[in-house]
Amino acid sequence: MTAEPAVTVVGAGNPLVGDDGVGEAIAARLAELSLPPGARVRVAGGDPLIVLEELEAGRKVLLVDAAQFDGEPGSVRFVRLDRPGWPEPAAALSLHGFDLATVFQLGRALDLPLRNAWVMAVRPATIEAGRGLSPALTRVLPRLVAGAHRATLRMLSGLAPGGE
Amino acid sequence: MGKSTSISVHHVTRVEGHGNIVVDLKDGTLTRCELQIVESPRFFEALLKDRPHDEAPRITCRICGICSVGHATAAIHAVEAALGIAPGPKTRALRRLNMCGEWLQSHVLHAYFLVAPDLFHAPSVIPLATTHPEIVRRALRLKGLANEICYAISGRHVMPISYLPGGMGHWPSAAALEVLHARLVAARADVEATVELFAPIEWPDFSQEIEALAALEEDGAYPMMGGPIHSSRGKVFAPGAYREASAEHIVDHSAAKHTRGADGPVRVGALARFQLAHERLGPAARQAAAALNLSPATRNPFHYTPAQVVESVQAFEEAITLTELLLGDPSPEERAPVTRPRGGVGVGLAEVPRGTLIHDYEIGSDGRIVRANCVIPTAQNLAAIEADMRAFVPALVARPKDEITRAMEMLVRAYDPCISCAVHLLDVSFVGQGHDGGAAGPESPTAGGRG
Repeated sequence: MTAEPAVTVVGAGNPLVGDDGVGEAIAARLAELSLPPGARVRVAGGDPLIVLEELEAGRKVLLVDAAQFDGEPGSVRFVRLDRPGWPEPAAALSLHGFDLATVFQLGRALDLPLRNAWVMAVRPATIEAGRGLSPALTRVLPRLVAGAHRATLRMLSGLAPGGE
Repeated sequence: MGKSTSISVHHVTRVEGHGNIVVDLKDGTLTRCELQIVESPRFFEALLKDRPHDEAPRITCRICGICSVGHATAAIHAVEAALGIAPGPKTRALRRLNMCGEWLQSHVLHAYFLVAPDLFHAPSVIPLATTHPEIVRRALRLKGLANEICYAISGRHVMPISYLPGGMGHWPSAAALEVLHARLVAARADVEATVELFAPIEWPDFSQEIEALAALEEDGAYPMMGGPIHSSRGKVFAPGAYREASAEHIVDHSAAKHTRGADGPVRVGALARFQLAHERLGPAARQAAAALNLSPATRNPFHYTPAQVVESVQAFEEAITLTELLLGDPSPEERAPVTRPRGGVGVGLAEVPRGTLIHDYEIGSDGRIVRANCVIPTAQNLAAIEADMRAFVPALVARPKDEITRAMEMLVRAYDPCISCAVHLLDVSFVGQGHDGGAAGPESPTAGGRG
């Protein structure tokens, strides 16, 4: 039996920009929980290149980040990084501006196993300057942390993170 | 009929943040040459107001993901200066080691991801990864190593929250330092390969004398952790007199303030540090400078990148030395002293990858921050960038427009500007009852840049 690769949960975003900090908030609370061997938590700030570092090291990745999509604030989607349809990377490539499309393109160019990276996208209520999460996301934070914990365990077991 | 040329680079690529270049030429004469900083202001200082002083490093480290250790360092220096606290040698060593990690990460990313594509005639790092994957993989390895330094020292890869007045809230175990040391030693080949990669590069031939500034440590170490501000004009300024060295002022076309020295623009950052403190480099960094043909006499801003490569070597070698120092030091961890709230004013400096970072705080008698001012390296370099653009363009006027454009972008990029950090300095004013204050009103969303 082949052991499943270890999993790194990466919390992305900036707590100075409202709900953009939800990735870090989830990661910080997840790190306080009892995680099984093989799981670790990293805080990425605005640096999603950490995803590629982890893939290069042979680990699976669950990137937790705020993302705009249809749905209520606090709703969650899981997206595999190698799914088709990422837009072309932003023209203005910068260290602050590395978006997931860029990470995808760069990972593909380097032939990294992008199928091992998932995004846990959390719908924010507000993305604007100011410290702390919105009341809406603060209310559902325990549920989001539990969801990230469950997703980590599933990935350690070789499953997709978002199933039941 | 005279010939007019107008170059407008909307959104300079491969710099951090959003800026535009605008150049107007009429009959071969330069009539306008601006680096327009167009990002929304982010009001960092307002986030500090009324907060407990010990929160300052934890708040300001979120200003920028690339310079987060530098902001935490300048912030804790300002708080400690205000409260009259002097950290012990072990704390200072730990903080310097963390800064080594940030220098290595930032310099490697700039050199490999933002500059190298120009050198290999690739539009960005993505096609470079296709044609030269070994180069990009090496960059990722070095970046990962730098992140591991920060993780071992502060418990987080970026945005450290362990800086306390007079101490640190996280101390690495001996086992963690052993692992880090082994990783560092194993990475030496990648550092040497970095020097080899950039050594043959012939940088554009351009030179301009501009005052260089750097905060030099009084113990003779290579400038990293702050100290009096030294000028290439021979002047020395105490940290509290930073406005005499680099005075902020507002310009119409920039959401970031500019600064000026006694005689005009100033340069800060790797090139300025190398110019002012090259004799403080260690042997390996000196060898790298020789291999890169980098002379302290250079006044060519394109040499920022080889200076960053030299500083990468310095940071890497210092990281090994500091790790060994900490491993061999049996003294106990230094605990942050318990301090009663008291007021004070303090200025904290740090030499972050892009130059001299200044935090200036006034702390009230209740221990809360009354006033804060942050002077960002990129803001200090903006006037120098424009001065270089004005001097550089006349030599380019006979070239095709796209070549001029590319050359101007390379020039701006050479300074490694962090625009997201810089755009927090605009004073907002409103005229009359209605909103007539331009694009910088508080209604403007400020979510741009996660820093």
